Amino acid sequence: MTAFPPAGFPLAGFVANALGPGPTPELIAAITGNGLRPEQRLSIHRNATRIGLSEALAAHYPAIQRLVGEEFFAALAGRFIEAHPPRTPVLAEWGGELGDFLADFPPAAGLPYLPDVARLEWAINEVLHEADATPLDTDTLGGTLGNLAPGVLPRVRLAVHPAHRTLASPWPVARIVAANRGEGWAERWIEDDSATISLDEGPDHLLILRPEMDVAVLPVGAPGLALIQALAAGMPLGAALAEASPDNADPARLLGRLLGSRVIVGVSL
Amino acid sequence: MTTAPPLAPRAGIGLKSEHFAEIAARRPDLGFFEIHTENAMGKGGPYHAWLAEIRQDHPLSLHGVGMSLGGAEPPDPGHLARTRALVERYQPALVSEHVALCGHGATYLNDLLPLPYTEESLRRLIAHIQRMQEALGRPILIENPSTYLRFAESTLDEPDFLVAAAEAAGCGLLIDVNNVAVSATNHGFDASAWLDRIPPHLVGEIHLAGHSRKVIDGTVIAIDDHGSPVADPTWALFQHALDRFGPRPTLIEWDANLPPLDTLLAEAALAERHLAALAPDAERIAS
Repeated sequence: MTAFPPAGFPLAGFVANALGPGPTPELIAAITGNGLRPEQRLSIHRNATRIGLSEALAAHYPAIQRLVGEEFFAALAGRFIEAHPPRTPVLAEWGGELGDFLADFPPAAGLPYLPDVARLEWAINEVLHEADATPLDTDTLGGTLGNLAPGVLPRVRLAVHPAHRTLASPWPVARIVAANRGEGWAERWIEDDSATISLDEGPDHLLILRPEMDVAVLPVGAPGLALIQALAAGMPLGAALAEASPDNADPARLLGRLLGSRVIVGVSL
Repeated sequence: MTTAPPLAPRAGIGLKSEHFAEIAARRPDLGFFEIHTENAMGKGGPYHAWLAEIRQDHPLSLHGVGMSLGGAEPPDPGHLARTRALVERYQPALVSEHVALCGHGATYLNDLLPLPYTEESLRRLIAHIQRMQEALGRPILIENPSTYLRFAESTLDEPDFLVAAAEAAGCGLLIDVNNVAVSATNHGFDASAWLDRIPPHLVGEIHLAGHSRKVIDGTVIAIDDHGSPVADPTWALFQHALDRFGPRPTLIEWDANLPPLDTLLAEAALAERHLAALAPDAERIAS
């Protein structure tokens, strides 16, 4: 097979041009300037990569952009793009590391809730594109479970909607995101839309769910979160309830809230 | 494999999520819609729900931006499989890709980088087109790039490179008239003469878009940013292309500074007036 790129063709120079300090001498030497310096022509490609990816990141993280401002976000995006360039041309799937990146980004240290805000926005992005499924409504699910023979209920497995994620945070991130994401997000999630958000309103235990076409962010409490995570991991209902509520405080209430949440899409034994 | 246009030679527009609801409600009379293949690669959700609804009323064209047909490595098998799944699901009338490099190694640069026009890169491009066509089970169209730089080692002219690739791989050409105009500005060649070197039978689709201009050290550089109306000189070049190629499905691309749907429909209507004004094939060839 013929070698490509040809020996010495500086293809990797484009990566350095777009994501590094600038084009390599080898790439510069490979380009005819035709009235301009090769670096000037290459700068158009550097801009194309960085502007396009910054816009994609801003589309995933509108609340982060609003919270830090456009100038800070542009600098953040530039650093993030260099550290985590896409490994896929599907940009809806790129940028999920921003939460972890922010946790280790000193200029953002004064806003300790930012990493979890980013994780919530990423969860919203992921469930938007996840597989569709039809949630079982409360009556159907309750009827199915109620008709089981005695003793069978703990062995039942409940299939969790693929378009769901969970997030626990010490901060009131649902309200922070709702208030900063625009486009009607606040009205969709937040009953108490008082203007100020106190950071000690947390912690949040959130189910991010797209039962049909709209994304909901639902506070489910620590036991509710643990129950959904245990079911999603494949545990039967009895073990999942025990996991979620070790003191066995109120499994009936926990189960009742689960049945109403539209996160269950199937029942099997 | 045939390269005859399977679509009526009418105008279409790029389908943007901002316009989904309005298009589903109004069902505008357009020849087709085109999407970026990579934007439809999620498993489910509102994007697919809208696309499926709009697809019921209109033909679709899948236009990929990430296959990197000009890359050092063959097309990614996973990306090919996802493209094939979309082709099976939506039965597009056209499937197209760019003649470009999209990155290197594992890094995707979200850019359409130019290839050196050499015999070696031609052979590699042909092999990659063939790999993609085998994976999809159908011919594709390859699009001429907008370029900002040239490589010293290039030995082939761009039209010759593209035609040789299409003839050897058995694919068609998507001629982006705006890209020809952009590259002609950036390298100082004659855009009409470029079009005159393309055999009409290879052309399966035409793209039109706006571009911007910036001046660097006194040199005008055209930037292919798809953020404005089609420029008058590009319309003139489109007419030249139609006079040579005959009527072809023609897309209005507008990706940045997205205007209201009616603005896109007006651009498409203008393209359709050019298409409708063409003399019938027999007359045009005789004259």
